[in-house]
Amino acid sequence: MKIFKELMIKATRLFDFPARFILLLIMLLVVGNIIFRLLGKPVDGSHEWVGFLTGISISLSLAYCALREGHVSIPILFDRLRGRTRRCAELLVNLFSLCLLIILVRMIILYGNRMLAGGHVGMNTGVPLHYFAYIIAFGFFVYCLVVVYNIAENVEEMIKR
Amino acid sequence: MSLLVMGISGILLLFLLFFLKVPIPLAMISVGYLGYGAGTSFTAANRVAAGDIYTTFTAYSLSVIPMFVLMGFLGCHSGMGTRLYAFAYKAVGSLPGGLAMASQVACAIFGAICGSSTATTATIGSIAIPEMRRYGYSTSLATASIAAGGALGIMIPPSVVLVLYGVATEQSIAMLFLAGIIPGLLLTLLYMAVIFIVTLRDPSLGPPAPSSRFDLKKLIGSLGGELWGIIFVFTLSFGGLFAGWFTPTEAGGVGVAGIIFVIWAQKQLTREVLNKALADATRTSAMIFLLIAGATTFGRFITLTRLPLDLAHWTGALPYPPFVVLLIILSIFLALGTFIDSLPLMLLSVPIFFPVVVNTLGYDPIWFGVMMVLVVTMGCITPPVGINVFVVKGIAADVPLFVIFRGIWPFLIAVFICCIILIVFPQLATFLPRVFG
Repeated sequence: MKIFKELMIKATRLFDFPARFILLLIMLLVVGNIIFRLLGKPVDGSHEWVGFLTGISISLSLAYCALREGHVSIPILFDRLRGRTRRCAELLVNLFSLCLLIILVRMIILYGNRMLAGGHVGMNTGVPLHYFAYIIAFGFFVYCLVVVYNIAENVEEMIKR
Repeated sequence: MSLLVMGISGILLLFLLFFLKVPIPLAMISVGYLGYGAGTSFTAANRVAAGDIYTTFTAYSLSVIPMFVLMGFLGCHSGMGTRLYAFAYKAVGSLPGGLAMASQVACAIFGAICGSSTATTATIGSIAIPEMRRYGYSTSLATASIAAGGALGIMIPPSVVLVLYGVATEQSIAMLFLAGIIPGLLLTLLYMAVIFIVTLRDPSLGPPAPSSRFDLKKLIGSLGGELWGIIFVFTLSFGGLFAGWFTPTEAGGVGVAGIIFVIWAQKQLTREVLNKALADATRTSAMIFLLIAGATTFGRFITLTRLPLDLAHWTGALPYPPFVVLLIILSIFLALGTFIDSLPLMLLSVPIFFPVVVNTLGYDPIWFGVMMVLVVTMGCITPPVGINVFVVKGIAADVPLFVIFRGIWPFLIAVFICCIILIVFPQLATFLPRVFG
């Protein structure tokens, strides 16, 4: 379990680092475009690239956000539960989240496949759009792994007690 | 099942999932997906949900959010709050409850580079609360003033909540930012008035701090040292936005570049500061984007059920003046805001109430945006889920929650008075957008 936890932390951090770097890259691209625009030579397709890069950055940090319990939830009633009831409820919620996330991963991959089949490309950049759909699906897949880890932790705690 | 019943059942199911502590975005996506699938077909629902997530994540208009979030966290981790607080203390420290008032001024100025109430609360609170407690301030006043003041971060531009409102309702973000300035300053003054009255009635709540004599020379001297950075970043970023030179995303990008330059010039730019700010920014942005994707999917289902349209017809037929209906809607917001965080509340309720308030009741959409943020501000500090109060509790762990909440009431009255002033004088919000628009 410990090894699993360490691996999970390392994996989510590994994907969060490029996400941080991409955020800086977006800033540079935006500022660069303004400077070049002043010089009469704006960066072609910069708006599209900013959108794509934001998508990549957000997708890669979804799992890290989940690991740090950053996704908003309402704890008022749930936190009043105690003992076995609470652990069971936690397990059920995590199972529900996992099912939904698996459906989402599949959905987004299929969406990307449709983009690939339709030959969708960025209007100004000409970049194939399906790549970004696959990256988003990958982000959700890593989020799934965090939920799997939470489930394993729930089960371990239930067995221990 | 009729569409209306389906819509109401969907909302009830959503609240059930909320109370089971399912992450809010996942709850919204699941209800939206199931509802849309049941109303049309699951093939259509698959496409819509995946499309919503893809378009939200890659939307240029939303890339403004990580930029403003990063700007705030850079200010937060670089020690800007300490210098700001020192400046604010020189300005108002000599008044009764001076340290608490200085916190409000510091929160308002920090709000000019930070769009999040929690980041503002954490930044100023970690400096001001120990100071206030050192000088014998009442724990309740010290902690509650910070929780309330932190909410100024979402009133004064840049405000993430106003950005989301602008994107959701297709209103100009620049105009919304302009509209937030005067109400934000008004709320700061009201908070200061509350502290003044409270400490005037019982001076032991906020005793004067030593060396708090007002010195204009020192204050003007510190303008260059402590405030120039914020003024520089604000002018550069929002000057360009309000003048129409930049898109909101560009204003955010320029703001980030500006703040990095300021931190570097103040010799505060370290690898650690940059890394911490980037880590917090990616985490917060991921949370916000998933929320938006969830709200979009849920919004599609709600639109399918024609619930907003029926609600608009129903409220239009009510035998009350629009003012009363507006008050009812704001009360609903306030009630929901006590247990739902500001961002999900905004995203969840805008598709339902915006058409009613703007199309049926005829209120100005920009003004309504500011009013919503004000009401959401109340939600940030009211029990049981006042997010700012929990941030303050994190800073002052030994202070019981009820002590903080006990001190909140005078500040809640201030927000309430601010709401009434804005309802009576809507020009306070619409004046600047009219002049610059």
